[in-house]
Amino acid sequence: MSRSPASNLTVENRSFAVINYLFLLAVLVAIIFPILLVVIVSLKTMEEYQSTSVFQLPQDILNFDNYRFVLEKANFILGARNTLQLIVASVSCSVLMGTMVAYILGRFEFKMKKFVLLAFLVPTFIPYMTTAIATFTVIKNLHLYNTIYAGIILYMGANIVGIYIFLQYIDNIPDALDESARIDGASYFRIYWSIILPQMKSAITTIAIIQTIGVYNDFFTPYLYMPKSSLRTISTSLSGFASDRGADWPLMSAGIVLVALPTLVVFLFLQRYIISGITEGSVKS
Amino acid sequence: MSAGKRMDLEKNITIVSFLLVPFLLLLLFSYYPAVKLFQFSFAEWNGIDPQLKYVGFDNYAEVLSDPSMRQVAIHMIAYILMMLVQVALGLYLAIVLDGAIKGRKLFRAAIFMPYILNTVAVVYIFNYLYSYEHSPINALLNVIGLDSIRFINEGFSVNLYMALIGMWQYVGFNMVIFLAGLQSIPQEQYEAAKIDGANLYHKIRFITLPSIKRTISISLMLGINGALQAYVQALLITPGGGPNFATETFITKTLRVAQFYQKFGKASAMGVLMFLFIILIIVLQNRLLKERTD
Repeated sequence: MSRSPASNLTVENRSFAVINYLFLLAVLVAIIFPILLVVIVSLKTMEEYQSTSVFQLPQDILNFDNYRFVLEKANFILGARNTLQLIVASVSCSVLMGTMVAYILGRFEFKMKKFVLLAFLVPTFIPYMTTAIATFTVIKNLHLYNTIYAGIILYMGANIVGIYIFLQYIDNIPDALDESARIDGASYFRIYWSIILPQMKSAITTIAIIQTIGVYNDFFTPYLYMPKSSLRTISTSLSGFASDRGADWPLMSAGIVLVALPTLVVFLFLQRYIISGITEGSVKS
Repeated sequence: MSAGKRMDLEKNITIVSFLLVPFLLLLLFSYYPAVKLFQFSFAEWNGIDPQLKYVGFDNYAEVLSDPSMRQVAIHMIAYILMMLVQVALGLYLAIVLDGAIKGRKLFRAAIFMPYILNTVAVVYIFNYLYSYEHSPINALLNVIGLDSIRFINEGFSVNLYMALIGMWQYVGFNMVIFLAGLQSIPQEQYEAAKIDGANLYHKIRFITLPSIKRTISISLMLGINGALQAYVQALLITPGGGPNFATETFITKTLRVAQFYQKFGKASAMGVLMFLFIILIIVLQNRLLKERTD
């Protein structure tokens, strides 16, 4: 993304550029510092934590005792299993449904098409949290309360923005591909499955990554709809651990680092997908 | 049956079968709850009774006359103020990092990174920073001779500290969508302005800002939505609502009314009011922006 010098609004003025740079460094420190401090604490023993300054590096930087303890006590293994189930089930279903809806809206003309499009658009304006009280009773009446299906189905239904991104990709796939397959006798389902889906690989990857991170990071859904301890996710495991051991900062910090690490790793490797998906999702909807 | 009819049939079957499940989910989990919320808001209901007892606008009257609601409204101002700072900071960062500044890729990635971190983990990182005796921030303040700050206090400022967590996590999001907006501005405009002798202020004021008005509007819209629905930091750091309910947000209050007081009707009325308020702000904002364009 290199730009011509004309766009460098802020580099033209020397002293201004210096101030900007210093400010950027300050922002960088404000972002990195809190994380670094928590990593440092997580490698200290309790005695060390109480006797040394918060800024002092741990005596043994390979002291992973806190991590070992937390992994056992905070039930992160169970949390990881539940979270993984939620992710696999909801992301695959919502990618499938999202592409199906986009295929219909992008390729067919039919009565009520405008209405359907609108019906999928309007809920993006319903503030999610405000209707939680009523959603809660729906989940209860369907006997999904305190089951993993509550999470799966709610995450599945929440993929409305994805439909719009898929729709844009479908518009860019040449109609000629469909038509020639049609002449060869392919059914519409076959066209969707063997032509449209493979052409949308990059959009699907983007949406799947973003939704995976969203489900992994969500706290509200498991907290409200599946509070049972056997259904804890990674997020609720950490908050559960905090209510027992919240003041034990070396242990808490190890828990924080463990929970934060997976999406951080995903981000380091898939940054491009994540940023393009976030941008398209918010700017175009 | 003719070939054309068979094709029509296949087309219709495809349309219906592809749309059926997504549409049902949409009805069940988006539209139905919205309607239900409205219905509950006019009833007295403990969440268990099969029968709703309709009470007209009583719930609304109760919410609006509740002095603790006024307190919550003041807390929400803290979140909105921080959100405005966040949008402005995001815009500033985007403008600076759109240029050929050294290390801009690293800056962009680092500033965006908190956005993808687990929110619960982020909140507890700040719980550590905000602890009184062991807070690294206070340790730093003490080193330079300042007094420790009591972050979790009974005053208004506790809400600013809570909102700051959201800002730390989401400012990179604002930056990224502003960057996308900036990149859609044609370079010729800046070149032409340069020839006309425009300075930095003129360029930002007359080219940059007008060109990304839509992005600014989206940022504010999402920001207001997020600010008014903030809850997770308050819920996790001060599960009981904080000293004297000083950290109560609209959502934590709603959850408390429903879960602890079993007043689902009142909680629903709160939901409806919040819903209407958010829609009203978004409509007003769009109006304002449109008028400016005309």
